[in-house]
Amino acid sequence: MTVASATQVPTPAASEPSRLLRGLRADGHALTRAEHQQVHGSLTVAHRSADESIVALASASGLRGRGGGGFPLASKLQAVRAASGRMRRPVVVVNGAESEPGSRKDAVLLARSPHLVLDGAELVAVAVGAREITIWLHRGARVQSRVLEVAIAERASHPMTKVRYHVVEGPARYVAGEASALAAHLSGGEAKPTMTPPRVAERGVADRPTLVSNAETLAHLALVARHGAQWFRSLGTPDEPGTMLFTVIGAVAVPGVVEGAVGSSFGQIVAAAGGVTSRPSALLVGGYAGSWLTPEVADPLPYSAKALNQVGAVTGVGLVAVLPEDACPVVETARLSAWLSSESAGQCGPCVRGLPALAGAAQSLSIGRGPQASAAVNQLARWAAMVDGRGACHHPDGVAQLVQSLLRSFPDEVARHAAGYSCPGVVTPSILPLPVPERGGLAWR
Amino acid sequence: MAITGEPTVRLVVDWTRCDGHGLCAEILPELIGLDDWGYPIVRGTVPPHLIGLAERARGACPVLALRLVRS
Amino acid sequence: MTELSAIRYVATGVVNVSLDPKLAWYLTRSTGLVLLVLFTFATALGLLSAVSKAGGRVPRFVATDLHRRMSLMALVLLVVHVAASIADNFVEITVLDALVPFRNSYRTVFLGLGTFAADLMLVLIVTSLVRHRMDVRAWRSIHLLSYAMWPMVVLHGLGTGFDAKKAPVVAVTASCVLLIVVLTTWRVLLVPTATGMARTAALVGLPIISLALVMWAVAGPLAPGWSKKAGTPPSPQKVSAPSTAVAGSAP
Repeated sequence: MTVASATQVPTPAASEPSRLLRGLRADGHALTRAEHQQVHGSLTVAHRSADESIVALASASGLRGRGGGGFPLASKLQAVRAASGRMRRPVVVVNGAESEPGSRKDAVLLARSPHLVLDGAELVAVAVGAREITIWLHRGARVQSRVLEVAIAERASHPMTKVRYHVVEGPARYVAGEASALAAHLSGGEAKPTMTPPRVAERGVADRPTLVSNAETLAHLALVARHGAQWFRSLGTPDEPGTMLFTVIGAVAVPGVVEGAVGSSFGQIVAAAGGVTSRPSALLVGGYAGSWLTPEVADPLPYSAKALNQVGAVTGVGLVAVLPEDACPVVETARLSAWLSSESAGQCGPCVRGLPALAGAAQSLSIGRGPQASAAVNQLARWAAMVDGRGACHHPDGVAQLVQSLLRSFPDEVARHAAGYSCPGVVTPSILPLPVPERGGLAWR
Repeated sequence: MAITGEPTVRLVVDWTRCDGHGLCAEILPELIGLDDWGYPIVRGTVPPHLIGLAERARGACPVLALRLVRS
Repeated sequence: MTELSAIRYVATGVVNVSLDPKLAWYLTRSTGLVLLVLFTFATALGLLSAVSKAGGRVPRFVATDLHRRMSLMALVLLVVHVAASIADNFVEITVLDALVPFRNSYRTVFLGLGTFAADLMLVLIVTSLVRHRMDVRAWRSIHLLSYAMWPMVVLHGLGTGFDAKKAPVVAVTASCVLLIVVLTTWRVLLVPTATGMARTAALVGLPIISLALVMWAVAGPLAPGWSKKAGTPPSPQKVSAPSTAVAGSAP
């Protein structure tokens, strides 16, 4: 076997869901390399045909991206390999952006178990033949940035493979974390998404084949390399194997990041966060540009793409936001859609014009005043369908998703607001945090 | 995927270039409509008898935002 | 008139021109006036394409298509105009003068502006023909040169046009200038520009430049005695052209 684990650490029990979050320090500091190797074991890579083994391993494990796209990692690796050559050396970009304001999973992983992510990054670098790894963070991710510098220095003496690391901080904008936006920024331009084709796998940073992978995905790969594909598949669903990190916020006893098998029910996920503290009014799933679900539908529902798609929702980045009893999904939708429309890159007509229109309609509905409120319902449905899929990136799709899921899951609340009901949710402090704008205005470089 | 001799031709909008001038919709209303803000909504693939008009629509766009993709 | 029959017409004209100098003389002047009108219409259509909104009574692609076809027609007529001016013996204009501006000593500036405008025209047309293969922003920047080209055409007409003082020609010239000034002002007002500065500069500059043009035209080419001062040869009917007498020392 060309990717081998030293035998100091036995393979953890297959049924144990704590994989990425295993062995974290109680004081919240990052695991040093030595500690990391104590918890997970060390990893060595023999160079000849290691690249093919890693791709085969990724394929056998069925590991899918944890950054929202859900693409099989093996497909991405193969696409980059196919586009690479001696004159076109690929690059690896670790996406540590975590642009979703409510999500904290990548931040926690990078701050407390950086070596797991870096192991994964080096594995994919070997797999595609890259010699450079860039870790992309939002400006202001001080803790993660410092931790990574230390971790990279620790690895310099005994590298797993020969690579050069760069830690880059880019603009803290919502769409800046999209793969083509990252590539554009790293190529010296603005962190705005570009039209694909060509995909970044073929032409990304400086026109080179680029593998952009979410930090959590790479961490999973690091464990697959140690314990094997079968072990990885022992939790999760056949189509979506493994565990994933969920960020649970809102009306729960212990909000934070929890790990569980893909396909865990919402009831289980919320229980892992200490259970609800009040009767939830609604759940927002996946991300802010995600899906509303009623608690009744959500509780038994497995958190997997398959199950979520059937109720018109998407997995997103594993956010589970529990709205307390006195909050209102209509009000929150107005608030979120206003913020999301302000986060447009401003490149594409349907987004630039359509998102503010949606936000305006959502606001009219939320206030519940006058004939505008009832007209707003039709406008929301019409414009959500109108902006969906029409842009260089999936930002408008996300807002469409948010609005359409509101109309679908909470028709009674929507109807009440349309009839002129002004609900107390307007004055309830929101459990959905929004980032404070950067000092000096919002930049794109 | 349909197994036919003809390649399918699709109209693709480069959203970062499109400014909603609307000439494409004027030339090819059979396939291109306009949304509430003047931006094109493309319906379906281009049948063979409309390919000429589709090429004209592509040429008429002042910012070259329309592309014909053959697959 | 299709482009093909226009070419045939040109070929015939060119053959005749070399046989009858007087025809060349009239051809230069007539094509010159028609070209002023054609260029004005082509520029006007270009401006209209920029300002018109979708959903009007006339589809926008009509303006764009007409703009393109009219520009190509103007190019064809330009070839006739240049060929006729070379063939004509009243003033010695060489083929090189037709391509390189400001070489000729006869009314150097105004003739040169005509050459320069023709060169710009070529650039505009060639880049537009390969539009699909070049960078969109580069094409757009180059096409802005049309704002420089059209005034050169007008100045060339006023400065070298032998009929410039005649009432019908003055009327045509004035109408063309008015049309373009109005449309350009409308465009500046209607189409959002990147900076407010550019728009303010244009709105202030347009009336000033137009006024200056009118004042200069009235005091200069349209005033009596100007053509003598500008160095026109004494006799327009002379068949054998004095090669060096046109250097500007008119009696």
